[in-house]
Amino acid sequence: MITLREVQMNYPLEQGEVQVLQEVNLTIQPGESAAVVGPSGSGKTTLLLLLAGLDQPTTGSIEIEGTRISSLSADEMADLRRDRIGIIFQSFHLIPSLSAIGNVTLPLEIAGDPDALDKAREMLNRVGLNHRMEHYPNQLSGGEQQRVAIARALVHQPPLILADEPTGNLDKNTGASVSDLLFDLHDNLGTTLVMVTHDPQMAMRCDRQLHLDEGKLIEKMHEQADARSV
Amino acid sequence: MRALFKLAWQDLRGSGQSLWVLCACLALGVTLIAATGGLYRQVSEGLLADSRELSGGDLQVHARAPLPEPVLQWMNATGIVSLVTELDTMMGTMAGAFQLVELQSVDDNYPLYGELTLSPNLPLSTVTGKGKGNENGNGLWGIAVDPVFGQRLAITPGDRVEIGQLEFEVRAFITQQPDRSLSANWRGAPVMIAADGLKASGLLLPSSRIDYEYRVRTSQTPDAWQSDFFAAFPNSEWEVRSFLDQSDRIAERLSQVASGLLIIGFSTLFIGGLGVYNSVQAYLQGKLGTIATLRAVGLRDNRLAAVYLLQILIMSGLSCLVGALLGFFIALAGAALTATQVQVETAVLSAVLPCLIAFVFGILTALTFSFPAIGRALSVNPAALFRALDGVETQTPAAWWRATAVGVLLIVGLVLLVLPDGLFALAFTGAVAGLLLLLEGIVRLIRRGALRLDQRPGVRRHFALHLAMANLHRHGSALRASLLTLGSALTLLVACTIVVATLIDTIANTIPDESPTLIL
Repeated sequence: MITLREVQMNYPLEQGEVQVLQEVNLTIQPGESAAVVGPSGSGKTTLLLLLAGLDQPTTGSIEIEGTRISSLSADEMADLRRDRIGIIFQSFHLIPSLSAIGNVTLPLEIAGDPDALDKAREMLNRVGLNHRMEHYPNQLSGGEQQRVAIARALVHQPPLILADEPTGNLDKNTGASVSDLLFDLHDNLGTTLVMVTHDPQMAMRCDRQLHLDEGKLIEKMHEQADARSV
Repeated sequence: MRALFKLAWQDLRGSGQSLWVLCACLALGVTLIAATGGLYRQVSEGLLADSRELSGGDLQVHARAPLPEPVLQWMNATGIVSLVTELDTMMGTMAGAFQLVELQSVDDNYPLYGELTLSPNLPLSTVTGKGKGNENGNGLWGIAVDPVFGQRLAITPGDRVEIGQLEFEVRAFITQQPDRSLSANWRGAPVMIAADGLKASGLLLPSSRIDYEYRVRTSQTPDAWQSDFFAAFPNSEWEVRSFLDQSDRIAERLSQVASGLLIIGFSTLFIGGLGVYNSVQAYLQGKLGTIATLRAVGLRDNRLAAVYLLQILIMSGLSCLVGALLGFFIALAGAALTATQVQVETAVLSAVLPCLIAFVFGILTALTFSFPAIGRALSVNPAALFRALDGVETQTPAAWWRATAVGVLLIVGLVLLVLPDGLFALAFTGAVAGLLLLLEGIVRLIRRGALRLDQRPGVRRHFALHLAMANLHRHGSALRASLLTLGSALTLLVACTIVVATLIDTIANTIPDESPTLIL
């Protein structure tokens, strides 16, 4: 599903170049769930943005479903995100001028799906928000907004879900329910899930744990104490 | 496209209130252009349509002495001829007031076009005849005077006045004289008098300066008639003018006035355009998160651009429509008011095209001034936004600058086409371009100066001063936007004030305060 080869990411700053990711190699199989953990500033979000095609690596290659995304044009990459990827952000990033149902129909309407409204209603129902469809983001709680964001990311049934700290802005209880929802949908839909998280319990629920430290990716097994490079 | 329109509309409904500045700027500019253009077109078309009437005939032959009989015979053979004799002299009232007047004696064929209306409604021959129109039969010749003139001298029908050696009786006011509007002799108010009465006054002396104007109504074209006339009388020193010459003069005068007023409208729209840029820029700055999110869910860049262009078109379309309608009704009201002063018929439909042109100008302005802001917003790297980096650097891509340049060229082209006076148009566009260059130069000077000052230890020690200087020279400061907008607005405001003041001054100096039936 996903293959990263020798991916390096540098950011040019006035004070000098900053290396965020160093020679990252990673393969994720279809249907797997992987948690990316690490300290703040270690490059977790950067890794996710690279996988989403919203940024380009300085060197190295990224393949999604056998397609090298660096060879895609901006429009082709947009089409890939539209059809094959769903993204969940820590800050939800809902469109404030669209209602819950409007936000969820968005990917389907961009794709020209004639059944966008029905599918969106069904997905909002699955995340338990059928009674809040016409409410706007500023009328929803944090947990409800994240549920809408999850519904939006999954409504077009993409094979790949990228989640950047989906419970990062939520309290413990809300975060737990959102986390349950996300993994239930992942299990039911059979999507590949790559999640950045600070929550160790959430990380433990994933099939794999990938640790980013000073730009280097190390995989930690669930039961083994030793770390080995990926 | 439907989905894009739906997205644009829904997004606009939720957050479009912040674009009210854009709406106000465009509506005002479009209103002024539509009103000015509509009024100009109605008045000029009315005047030009009535130019024969306003000129008094198809052609006029001016002479300082009566034309020889052969010439008169030739002219009578080509059409209907009417003689208007004019003489300036002093007129005195019984109360001892004296006033310079222009005596006009006309023949039975007058007027060749239009109607002469007197109050009371009597035939001119009755009013100006000797001892008639007066039941006492006092044996006096009569005259008809302009009502404004009569009011000023406090004379009414029945009063007596002195002209030359005779007393005359005021018998009527001239309420409508078709050739008056364009032939106003500012040396004196018009007084209509019989030819024999003029002779009897003793004013027709060899040394008198008398204007003999022979007006002709003919089926020939003016050019053909003039050619034939000069062929028949090659050594003549008489001046021959046609109603077309009058039309050209009318058109030239009107175009100058209209150009001056239209420039005010265009200046307002230009200032409005700067307001559009700032308004759209501020609006889209608040939309960067939305833009990044739309990219993240898979909306292509060109479709993303279409969403925001649609929003600009919706807002500007509505604003320009309001402006065009307001301008249309103002033009109608202005034309109705003008018609009471200048005896021309105005056509409502004449105001429609200027309103359409104003609408197009508004839309073009909105798009042209929005392109850089939209391009800039769309150039934002969504990754930077999602990493929550503040102060993300943006730059307008070259393609959007090219689109802006095309828009500017179209606007300039339309200004050159629409402004009646070509010289005004060139001067205006050149002045605006020069103004922008000058202001840009001032911005750079201020930046450079602020940077140098900020590097001085004395300035750095004072935090407020240091902060002020830094905010002038730092990248992304509001200096350019503020100075360009404010500078342009103030400069054009002053320029327009001078234009209007000059126009008013010119008209005031050309037309006496007590001028009767007006104007050009």
